[in-house]
Amino acid sequence: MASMQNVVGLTAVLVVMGSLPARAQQPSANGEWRTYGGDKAFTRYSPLAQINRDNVKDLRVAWTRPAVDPMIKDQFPDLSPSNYFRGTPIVINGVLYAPNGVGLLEAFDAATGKTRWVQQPVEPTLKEAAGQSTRGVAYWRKNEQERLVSIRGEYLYSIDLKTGQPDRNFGDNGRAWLNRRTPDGAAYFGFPGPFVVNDVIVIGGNGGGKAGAGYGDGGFEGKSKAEDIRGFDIFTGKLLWTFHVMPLKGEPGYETWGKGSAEFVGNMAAWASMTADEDLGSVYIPLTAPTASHYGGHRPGKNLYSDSLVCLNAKTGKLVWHYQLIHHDLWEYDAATPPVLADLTVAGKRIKAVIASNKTGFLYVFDRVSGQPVWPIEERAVPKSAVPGEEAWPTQPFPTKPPPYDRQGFTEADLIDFTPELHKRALEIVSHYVMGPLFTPPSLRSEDPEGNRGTLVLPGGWGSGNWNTGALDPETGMYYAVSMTQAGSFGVLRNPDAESPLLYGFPEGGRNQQQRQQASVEQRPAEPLLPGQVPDQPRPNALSIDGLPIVKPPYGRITAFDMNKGTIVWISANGDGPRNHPLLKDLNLPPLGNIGRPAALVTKSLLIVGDSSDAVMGQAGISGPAKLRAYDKASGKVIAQLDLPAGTTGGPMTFMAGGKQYLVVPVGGRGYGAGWIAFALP
Amino acid sequence: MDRVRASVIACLLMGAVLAAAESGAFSPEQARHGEMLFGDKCAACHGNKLEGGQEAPPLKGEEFWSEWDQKTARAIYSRIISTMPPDSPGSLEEKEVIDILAFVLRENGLPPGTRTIEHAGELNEIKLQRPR
Ligand code: HEC
Repeated sequence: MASMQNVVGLTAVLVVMGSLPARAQQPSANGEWRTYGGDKAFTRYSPLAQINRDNVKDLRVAWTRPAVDPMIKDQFPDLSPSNYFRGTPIVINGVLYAPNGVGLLEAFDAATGKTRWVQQPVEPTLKEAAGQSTRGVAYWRKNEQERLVSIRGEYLYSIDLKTGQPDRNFGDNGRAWLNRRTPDGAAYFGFPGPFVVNDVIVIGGNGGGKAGAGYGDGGFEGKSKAEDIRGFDIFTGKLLWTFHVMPLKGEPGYETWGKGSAEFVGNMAAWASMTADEDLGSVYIPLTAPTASHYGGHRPGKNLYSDSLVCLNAKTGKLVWHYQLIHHDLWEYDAATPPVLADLTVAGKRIKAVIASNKTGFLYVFDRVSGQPVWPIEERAVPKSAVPGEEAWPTQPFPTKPPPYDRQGFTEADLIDFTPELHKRALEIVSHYVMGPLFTPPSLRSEDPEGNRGTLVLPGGWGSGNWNTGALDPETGMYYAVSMTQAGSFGVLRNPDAESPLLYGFPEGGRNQQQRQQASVEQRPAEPLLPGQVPDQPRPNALSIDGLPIVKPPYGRITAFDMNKGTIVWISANGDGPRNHPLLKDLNLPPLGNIGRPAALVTKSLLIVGDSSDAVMGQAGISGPAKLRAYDKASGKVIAQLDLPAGTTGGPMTFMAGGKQYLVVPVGGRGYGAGWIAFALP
Repeated sequence: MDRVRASVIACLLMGAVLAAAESGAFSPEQARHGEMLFGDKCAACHGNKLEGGQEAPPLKGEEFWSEWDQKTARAIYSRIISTMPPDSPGSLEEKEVIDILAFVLRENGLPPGTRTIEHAGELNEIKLQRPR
């Protein structure tokens, strides 16, 4: 395939910066895509049917665009965007809008992909142009007024749709500073982008410690800042309210943090998209784990609002209801999935529901008005911790319905048995670890290489579900969970810093070099590829045999649920996975599923899910050319596979322009770069 | 696995013939300073030895070469200064990125020499090639 840069370079010559008048286009009312998740319920659904079961195989590339418009590249020759290109465009009135590869907004013609305008950095310097993409831009309209709202670096922007210019009445000359006081002056950053609910912009973030410190997931650093949820005025950019994800002294929930830990533990950011029911005025927010979550001896208690689904009144920021999905997290089981809104009929009763999920692979279904579980969620006893000082919470919530969408807990029955020899080798590997059901806590890692290496967990810390999981067909009540199966191991070590309240820690991902060095090689998630190794195979790591995972497939799967009944309708492996691995190739195995984080799009008859680029997780995923698959949404059968030059890095979306249905997906990967690819019928 | 070795390919740039592979393109001090900076700002994700980690790809071996083979060192410089660290892109100075890059190249088998790289422009002259 020709380099995308070249293709788009030609078209860009014709483009004029600034304010081209919007061409009069009349897309069908439902041919738009106004939120990057499709709508504010985050269904990732479109009722369009021009591309369907019969013709999807005929789709051709209609246009491509590089992650950063060539005119910006010309201005800043050193600007080189990441291959992790997150932005799913929105479509308003025949124009696509999206954050580009460095987070500047771009507007482009829906039918041709040609540039309308590109947001300029506030100063014409490389430092200001530098940036990362976000998952998307938010759109607001009231009467004749409309705006785009985006987050870039530490700022919230309000941008005019026609010109790409900032609204000077918003914030400080068009943007509002999002920084909040952190112990170490860390910059604000947030990849999910802003979410607009009526006239309020609600933001979460990625939250936490100092620049370069990672995401506050591992290590021995127990102190951080909680990433609060904030509401801003759409007209002025003024802060309206703050919801403290870590309750302040005197607020309910403060008492769930023992030993004064509410004063110094942080993170818990909402880094997956929120959803909203604008009629109710409610916003649904998935919150994540507390700082360095693998040890919690210094924070006895349930630890609200970590790992909770929180429903706020978007106008006031007041808590309407909440449900904690994981108590006293020791596994980093973030609620990292957009809580999809669905109107269901359960046992003859119509319910306004919200479907939440997290890294465990459970779906937690609530009445979104009252917060009551639709099917009972039981508090069940879970194993105790043997790590000194650790008081694991005695119970965890288990939804009784629907069944989980991925493997949970680690037993010998989860080990591969493609051949007796492979099973034997897998057994040898796991003999060095603690195994147990879901919520078996991390264990002490031995200094002795023959001793305990930690607790094996399924799902691992990267989760089965994540930001990519979930798409809903509102017509049928089917929910499609996209997930991956990847084991992890949690072994904690004594904190070398005797002053720290954190007695133990999980060294991986920590900031301190010396401490990181103690992390045994065994624990690393993956080794670099060997020369000549097929890049789209899982990387060899401690929990693999020559790169073959020791747990059973599928490694990437789609699970279709009938949410009116709470049952699974079908499960499909997404992609071949390692079926052609040298150890398996003679066995004639069915598709084993590619690992990664692809997102789904549901249409009238199709479910579209690609392969995930390895840029998304940094390691596991597809390294080279990849596929975009069209499934029959009713049966889970693959109908067509379209070629992509690199794996997907964000969700696919669809719209009508000039009477034609288009399908657009962001892709990115080594040796290719990143950009959007649009498909249409010939 | 054999240690990955890279070589600086002398290339013509606006008529100038540049340093040969053996002489090295950056100074050992530069790489050492880069190692310190890397430990502080990058290693939490990419690992002390560039081996990759929970949140990020390795910056050596096959993965490194599949992106950077046949490109100039300037290309990696550009990527780092444009996007890294992901929570604060644009926070690094030119000199810091050059030193970090010297460390990354050293770890990928490029021998240090006597020359100190002062400006990003000099990186255009260093072409990277996957070892065979
Ligand atoms: C918070 C974690 C994190 C930190 C800190 C971080 N990186 Fe990265 N880096 C990533 C991730 C994730 C990717 C892959 C996605 C991307 O390219 O943006 C990446 C990609 C890269 C790449 C491109 C690699 C390739 O082959 O595609 C380079 C080069 C790089 N980082 C260098 C650095 C340097 C130098 C620093 C320190 C200044 C740094 N990174 C700090 C997470 C991190």
